Amino acid sequence: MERLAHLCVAAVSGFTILALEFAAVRQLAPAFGQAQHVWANVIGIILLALTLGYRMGGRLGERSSTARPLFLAYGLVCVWVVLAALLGPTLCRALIPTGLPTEGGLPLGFTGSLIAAVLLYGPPTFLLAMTSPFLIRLAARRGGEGAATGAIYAFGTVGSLVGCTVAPLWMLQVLGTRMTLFWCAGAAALLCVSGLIAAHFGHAGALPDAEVPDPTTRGGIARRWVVTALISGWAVTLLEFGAVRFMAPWFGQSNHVWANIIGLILLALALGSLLGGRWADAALARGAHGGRMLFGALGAAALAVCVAALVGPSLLDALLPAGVDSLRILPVAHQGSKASALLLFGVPMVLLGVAPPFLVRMAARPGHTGRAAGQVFAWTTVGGLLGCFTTSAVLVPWIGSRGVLLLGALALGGLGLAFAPPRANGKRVGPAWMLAGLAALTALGLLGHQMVERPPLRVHPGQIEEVESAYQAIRVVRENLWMGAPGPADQVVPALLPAAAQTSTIFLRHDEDAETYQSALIESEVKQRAWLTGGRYFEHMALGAFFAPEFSSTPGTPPVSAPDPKRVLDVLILGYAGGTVHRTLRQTYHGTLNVLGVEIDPAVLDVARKHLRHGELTKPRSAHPNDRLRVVTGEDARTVVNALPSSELFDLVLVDAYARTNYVPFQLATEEFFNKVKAHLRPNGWIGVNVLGHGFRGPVAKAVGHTMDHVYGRCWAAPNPAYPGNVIMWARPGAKQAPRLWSSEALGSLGPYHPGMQYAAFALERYLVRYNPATDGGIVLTDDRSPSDRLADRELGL
Amino acid sequence: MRTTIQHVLSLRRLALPLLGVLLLGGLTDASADDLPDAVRADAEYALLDGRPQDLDSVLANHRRGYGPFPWVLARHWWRKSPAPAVVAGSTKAMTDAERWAFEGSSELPYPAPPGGGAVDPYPLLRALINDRLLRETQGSAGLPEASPLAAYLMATGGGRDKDEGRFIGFALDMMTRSYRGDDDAAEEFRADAAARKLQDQNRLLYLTSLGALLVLTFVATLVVGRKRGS
Repeated sequence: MERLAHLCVAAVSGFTILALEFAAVRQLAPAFGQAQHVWANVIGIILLALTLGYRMGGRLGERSSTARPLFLAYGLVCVWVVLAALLGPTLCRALIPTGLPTEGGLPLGFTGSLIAAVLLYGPPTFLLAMTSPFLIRLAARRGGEGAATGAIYAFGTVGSLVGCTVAPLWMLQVLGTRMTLFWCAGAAALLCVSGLIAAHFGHAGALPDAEVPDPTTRGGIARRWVVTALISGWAVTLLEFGAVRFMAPWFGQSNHVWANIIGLILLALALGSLLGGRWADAALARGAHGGRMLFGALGAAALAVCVAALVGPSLLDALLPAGVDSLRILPVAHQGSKASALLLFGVPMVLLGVAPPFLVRMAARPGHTGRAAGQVFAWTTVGGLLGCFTTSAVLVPWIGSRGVLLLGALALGGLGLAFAPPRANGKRVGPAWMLAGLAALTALGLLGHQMVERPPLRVHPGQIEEVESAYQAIRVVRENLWMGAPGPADQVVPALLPAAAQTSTIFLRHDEDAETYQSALIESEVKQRAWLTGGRYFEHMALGAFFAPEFSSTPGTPPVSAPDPKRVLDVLILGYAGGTVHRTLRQTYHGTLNVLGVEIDPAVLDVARKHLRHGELTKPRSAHPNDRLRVVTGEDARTVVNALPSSELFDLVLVDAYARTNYVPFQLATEEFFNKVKAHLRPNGWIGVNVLGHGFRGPVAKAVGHTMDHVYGRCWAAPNPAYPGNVIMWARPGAKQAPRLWSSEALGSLGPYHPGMQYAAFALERYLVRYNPATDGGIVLTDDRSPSDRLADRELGL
Repeated sequence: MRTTIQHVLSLRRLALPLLGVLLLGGLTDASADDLPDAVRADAEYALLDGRPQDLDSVLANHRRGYGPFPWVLARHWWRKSPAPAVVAGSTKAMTDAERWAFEGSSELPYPAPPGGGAVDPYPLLRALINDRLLRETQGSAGLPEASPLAAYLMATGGGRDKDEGRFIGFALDMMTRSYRGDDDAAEEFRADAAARKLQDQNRLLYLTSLGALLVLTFVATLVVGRKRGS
């Protein structure tokens, strides 16, 4: 009964740590965004706190004669998390940076997110991390340390698995950030109160005394076990992150896919821990050398990873062949990601899960199991910390996700080569060493090939290049399209469209994306000048430059001037990508443009320079020598908006930001965000938000519409009948009237309308519709509670 | 799939009363102009097709003062122009419809006819204006069936000519496509047999591999546990 209680404590603690981690990122995002450096800060601080907590838990477990300190620590966790929930947003707001980032300086929000993560989430994570080594120390006093370690590790991992699934997919979406934190505090309070009650009645408080510490030893573990724990922890993280990125070109990086892959990997690790605990006890009981088994298991895991890296693309092609509509792909990807995670990484992860209990069992000196467990957990976590910092930001862009998997395999194989003990007859070359050697050699060979050849993970028809960036796999694809008209509009407004033509168009697509795109360029300059992007949403967004203010021409009303061609149009583009919206503005607006673009992924801009002629956009047009372009990369758009000086005002704000292919980043569609933008809009300035999905009636468009209506007073949706997935939601503070275009005559030297814009103008005038909260439903999204990802999942069939 | 135009035309039994409402009820002093019918129709089609800029050429020989009405509408309500409402030298009195267009508001309803028995010379413009007013002020509820364009289509028995009917029919279909979207994506996915088959295949593979991993680990745990006693 007591053992079961300990396992439950380990599971609840594991769950709470993961839920806290996700809640931390969510709470910090409205202030500091979700750029790589913010994620790295949060995960880094949490892993550092875990490392220190594991060490402290091991030591405390040995020194304390009762479990009461652990339960009291949960009480502290509860109080701290409640304070973090209540005061966190205020602290974050106080730490918001001001001004745009300077060249060579720290990224915006780096310092703020670091301080906030340390203050809000460091202490409770540190305290929660003491659980596992403390419980292992309790169990070790009754003997069977290996099995106990394995079980506690496994239950902690299962708790983490539940946390990494339930927190991002349900708690944060449905309950909101603050309530999720209250639930975490509630879980800690439950552990505290139940533990103290059990201790009071003598069920859980007193430590058994079967294991007596040896006063002649200090309890530290040997250096080779430190290195093994460190490298295996690093390799596990490489394989976790690498696996998600490796499968992203097929299944994408939706919340469900992340939760599936990481969850099943954690499940496999938990199974491995259970297996490893029993295996270690049995092996050491009969006098076998545990090291041979441990390094044999790691070598076999490395070999299995090599096989996964080699055959993975073929398996993934079979599970998700080309041709499935991007907007219907999610249910297929959902099941496919689970199947492939198990088929490719199930066996290696079970084998890797064997390591911690083996290490604790072998490394512990007499009477110091708790301390050994704390050290093994701590060094494994340090390895994980290194993995977190290096995988997405450095290794994937450098050697690709396949290279990351192979590097993990090489590290595991190398461990075996370095530390596998000799056979009983003294010969070095035992089965474990040979297995490790074979794995290392295979991984090295494949890694060399990967670095030299850089074969793409997935090849689409017309693919020119695949670039794996820190955020996504970017695919440059050339398609030869017959541009009679954009879709069915051909039948409706042939008179509006330039003559039919075959056009070679370059698209930037990402991850699983097969039809949609984040940037497009018609290659022929002549055709591009005629077609712009062929009726796609870029033209519809650019139309915002031609909206007239509200005025009356009735005799007696104050006269209104025509749009002034000398006036500079200030435009903010959030989600700049390859600059297609900017290019469209340059081709259609015959006045000076001052554009500030924000693109979170710097690699997208690099690819645009190479394939989309972005260099042209950086120079002023000959007729407009005062054109100006500033592009901020590597920053979340919300952070930049937060940091904008109050004097920076815009006539047009265009939000075209997407994360993980299909998701509007939640922090860019909340009441607070729209209020921030409102403060930077000129009196007649408009904001346009591109919402991709299933049209105006989709739940995401409804929620964004409702939120904009709530903030700005009214909101209108401009569907693009030719590409009905895209809806542009338009709003202007205090607008009473839907957007009206200037007449061609009024434009004067700014016009007339570009022929390629005629269709966008027609669609605006014929189909623009008010979002009406009374009849259209939807909810107001806030920084604290925004189920936008969940709504998108529903819209996409999950 | 039944298109919106088919749906609308199936309600033809309502056409006669609606035609009466539209034409008799649609009397307006926009008829104060004296354009030939063919020019009026061309002007209406220019707005229907999304070519308001073509009105200059359509009405080139008929411009007097600040009129006629389609020209005022295109510049001051459909789109915007800061041109003065009263052009110097104009002797023509401003009609209610023109005054309404100059006002440029979408809060005010398109003026009701003053009565007098004349037939509305711009029934299609009336339908287009009221359709736009409805969309921009009330939203998409009931559209496209509730659209004045649908009523116009019914009243005219599918348009005054074949092209007009086809064009308005497509426009109404586009409204269906744009406003209703795919309300139930899950339903649509279930209807996609190929995607569903793939999903089932992947689910089966997942469950099989999960079962296999659990069994293998369990067996391995038993095997290593049994060795303990040997």
